[in-house]
Amino acid sequence: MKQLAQRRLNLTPYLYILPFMGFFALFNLYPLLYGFIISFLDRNNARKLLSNTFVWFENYHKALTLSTTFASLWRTVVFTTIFTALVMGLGFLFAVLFNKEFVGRKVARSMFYMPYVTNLIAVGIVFKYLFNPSKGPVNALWRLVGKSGPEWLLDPSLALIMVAVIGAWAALAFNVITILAALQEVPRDLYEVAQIEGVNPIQRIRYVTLPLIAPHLFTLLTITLINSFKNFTTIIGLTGGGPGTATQVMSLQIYNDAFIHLKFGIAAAEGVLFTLFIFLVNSLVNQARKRWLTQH
Amino acid sequence: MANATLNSKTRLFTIIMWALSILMIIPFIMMVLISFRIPGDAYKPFFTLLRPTLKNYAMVLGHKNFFDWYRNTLFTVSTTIILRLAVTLSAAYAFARMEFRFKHLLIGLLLLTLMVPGETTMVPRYLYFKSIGLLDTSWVIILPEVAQVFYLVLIIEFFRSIPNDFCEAALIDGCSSLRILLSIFLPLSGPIITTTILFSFINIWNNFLDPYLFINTISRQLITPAMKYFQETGGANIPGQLAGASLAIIPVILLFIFTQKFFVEGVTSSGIKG
Repeated sequence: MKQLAQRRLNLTPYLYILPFMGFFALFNLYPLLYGFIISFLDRNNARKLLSNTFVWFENYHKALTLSTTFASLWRTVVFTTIFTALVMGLGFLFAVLFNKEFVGRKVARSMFYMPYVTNLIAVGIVFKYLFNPSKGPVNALWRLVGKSGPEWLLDPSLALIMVAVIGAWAALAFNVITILAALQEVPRDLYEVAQIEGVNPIQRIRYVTLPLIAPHLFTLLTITLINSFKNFTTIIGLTGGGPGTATQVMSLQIYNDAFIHLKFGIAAAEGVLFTLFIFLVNSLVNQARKRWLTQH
Repeated sequence: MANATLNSKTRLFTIIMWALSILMIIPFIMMVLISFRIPGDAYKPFFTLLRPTLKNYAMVLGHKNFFDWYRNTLFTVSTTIILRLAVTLSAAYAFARMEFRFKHLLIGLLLLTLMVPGETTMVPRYLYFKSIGLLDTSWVIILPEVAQVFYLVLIIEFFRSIPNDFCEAALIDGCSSLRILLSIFLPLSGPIITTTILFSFINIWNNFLDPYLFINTISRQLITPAMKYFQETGGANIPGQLAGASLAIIPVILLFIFTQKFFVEGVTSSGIKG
């Protein structure tokens, strides 16, 4: 009798998590594993979309020898670097600024957060308008100074930087909000001590604020990096990968190889390789965090 | 004297912060302003006197599928939120308040998948949803959205912050665990439920990749990918596109303005506790 009660007690937690885990396993985890399987199958033309012919590492071999793969990976790295640097750097700067009192701070802050809740297709439409090289308002202003402006999103050497900057504009609020909250955890008296010691504002940030919120910044860096890889919508909305292939990052290459060229096997292999790449980047950040935490 | 310089400093700072904040939303201001111009005036200088028109809005609202897109999006958003809250609240309760075998292993596995963006799994998701017949329905968006680790972590954190005394008292009174969930945890969960609803609404409303991949029939499409379709088929009618974009973002902006407190709390707890 007692044993039965015990067993029932032990089953309870599993019953509570069962619906969640069920949905998760069926619609989230399984597709992930399925991708791994597809990457070993010959599903590389329209008639073989459900083929189960096992081809070993052929898809990986093809994915890695495609001339476009490393170019796309490089563009992903460039996008991620610019995006992450801007969102982390400006996020910190604006969090420090918004941490000070000023008239109408609340309203100004909500204006600042607005881009974050807007969908990136709408963002794409309006920025394409603003930065239209021949007729757009930005270059109209530029011409007031005398010169004709750059081609912006249509300039192959500028387009990738542009999409990363606009993506950062849209994502900035998350980091501002998070860092603001972290700043509010810094004890007030530490600033007072710093003031008595005659420390200037820059030094105060360097020696008081930064070390104290560093653990939060590492967490945020991980989140920001992962978000930087979710760039498909930003780029589709702004350039569609162009001009030429100037903004074709990994996510767009996977899309193109699968849904335009119908090479699902190769695209699945690219997905697996890209996932491994993301894990690698994250483990590097983790290493850095651990090293930093043991030093301080 | 010192006070005067301090004051002018504060004033300068206020002006700069306001200027930067306005700069952040200039794209929105432009979006709305230009959406009232006739197509030929789209690129006319900003300050010229123009004849405002409602024609662009009439065109967008007059599209035979416009209300389908809104209805599909609202159905998808509300169904997802209900299912998501049901399964996530119950799972978070067990993860936060009970000990069981494999608990930490399961959480570790769930957290690991947070690192995999949907961009990398387009192919398997497309082929899998195709093979189980989900493509081109709202369910292809809803079902995978139900169990999202982000919200699970959010609610686990919240449940952990509820003082233990409440539960102990209830246990002594002989309450079952279900009773504790329903009569102690749920009534206290207002804020986190609001945050979940808000984030779910914003994220699903703005979701582009999944509906773009999985829904083909234009009358079944959701609002954000439909704007892309508008952009592609609308030709060079920039004010028309901007009117569509404005209509697509207005509900989210309104929701954001009225619930900012919960929005900030949600971002904070996900960004800091990670």
